[in-house]
Amino acid sequence: MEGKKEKGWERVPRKIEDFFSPREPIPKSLYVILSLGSFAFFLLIWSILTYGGFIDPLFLPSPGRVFQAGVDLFVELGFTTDILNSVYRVMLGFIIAALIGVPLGLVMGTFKVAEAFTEPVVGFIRYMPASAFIPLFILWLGIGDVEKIAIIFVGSFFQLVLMVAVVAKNVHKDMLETAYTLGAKRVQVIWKVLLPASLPGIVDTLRIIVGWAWTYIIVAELVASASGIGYMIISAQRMLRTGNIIFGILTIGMLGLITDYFFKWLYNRLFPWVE
Amino acid sequence: MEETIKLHIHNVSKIYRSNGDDVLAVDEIDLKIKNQEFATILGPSGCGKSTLLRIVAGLIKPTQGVVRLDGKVITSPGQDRGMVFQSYTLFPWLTVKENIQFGLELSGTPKAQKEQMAQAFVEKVGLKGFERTYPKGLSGGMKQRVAIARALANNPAILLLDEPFGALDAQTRSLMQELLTQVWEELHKTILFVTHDVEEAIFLSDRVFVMTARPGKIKAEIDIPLERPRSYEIKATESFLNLKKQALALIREEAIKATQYI
Repeated sequence: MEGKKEKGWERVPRKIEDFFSPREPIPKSLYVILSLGSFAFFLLIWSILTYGGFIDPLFLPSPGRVFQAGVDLFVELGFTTDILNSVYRVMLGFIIAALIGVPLGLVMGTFKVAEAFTEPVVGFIRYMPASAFIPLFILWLGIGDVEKIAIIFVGSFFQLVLMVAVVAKNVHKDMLETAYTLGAKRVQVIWKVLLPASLPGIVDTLRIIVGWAWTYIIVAELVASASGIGYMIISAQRMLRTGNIIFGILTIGMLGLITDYFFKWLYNRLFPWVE
Repeated sequence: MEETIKLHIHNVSKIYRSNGDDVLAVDEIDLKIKNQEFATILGPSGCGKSTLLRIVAGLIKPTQGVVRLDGKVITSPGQDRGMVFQSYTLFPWLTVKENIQFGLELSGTPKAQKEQMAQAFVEKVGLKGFERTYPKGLSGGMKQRVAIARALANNPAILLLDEPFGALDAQTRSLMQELLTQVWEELHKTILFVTHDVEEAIFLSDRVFVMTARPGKIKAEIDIPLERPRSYEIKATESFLNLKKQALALIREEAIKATQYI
């Protein structure tokens, strides 16, 4: 019974090098440790630089100070209202873009006629950076919520349409043809095959787009605003409150992460059938 | 009754236009498929046999000629011609049973009847216990069984199969051939089957049409007088091997010709 464990089968021993082979799977526990480790590593470097006194707190305050700045923001400066304002703008702009963009993208990806008519224009506008529209929209719409929502809309809508069109185009033709041979009419092929087949791709597209919407809202709020996370960041800069700036950025990161997880959860919930 | 013509492919040609060049894919094919017959079109890859089947399905229009099913000219796809493709075409968001019910749902079949028919076909193709499974949980062979059941549940006048077992491994393939034979011997649907596999063609069919390489024409017609019901053991009999030898010689010539195009 040489080389055999007390219980179980004889095994080839695993070596550390194995984990560095391309695409080699690693144990889940190791994966989690490494993921958490990356955050810990980042925090460690930050702590050494600040608590060690290598960097002036004016440029980079310590983790403790940033945390304290966060507490002050919530307790004394009404940061919750800023967050809610930003969330409201992002969500409204994003939802309007999705309500118009998803159907339009599906039509564009399904009918060559629609594609020929809309794709060149959409493809052109897509390359115009949303932030460049800010001065124009301030001129047209003022500096209130409407202008911010319009920026979000422009930033997400055109990308969304093209991405949804690609999703619809990728639905396998054999599947549509099968539906025809089973007696489906054109409208039925669209509602009963094309739409359900595209849905996972659409939800995934929305997840990516909402992430971009978060970056646009901050830019819009930095330029001319009276509330929102971006407004708080730009005010903090004027007062040299570096801790507030960093806490603001971290907040955006958290909100982005939460939305991302929400969409992933929704995806798994809605589409248990996806391979 | 046995001798009535179910499907008549009448003088059908198909020309594809690509980059200004005309490619003749199917060249004046004239075929008559009898009622309740199992007919197979055997040909090398790229000979236009799939094109021909798609024309019968109504998915593409012939450049010349017409196809008649029960005397009526085919102009578009319809539920009277069920089709099974080589690729897996199950709707992944529907369970096995929902997939099989898809056609019945479209035709507005009452719920109780729909349930009962779907269940019957689930059992006919040996998938009892998998009614609520999504296609992602099925093997390749099981997926094709569902595809066949789905086409049959619609009660089509003819069943069109386009290399349905082409993507399966040899063992599964052989089992699927037996299953299809059993189903056919029970239901006696008219079937038009397309394959490049000589053994498969002979094992399944009453008649085999050998097609030439590009442009696709009918080169020969082989009657398969093997007795039914058939089981896999028939593949080792002398009469089977003789038929196979005959078909192989015909198809080999065409396959050699086909390679000269590449």
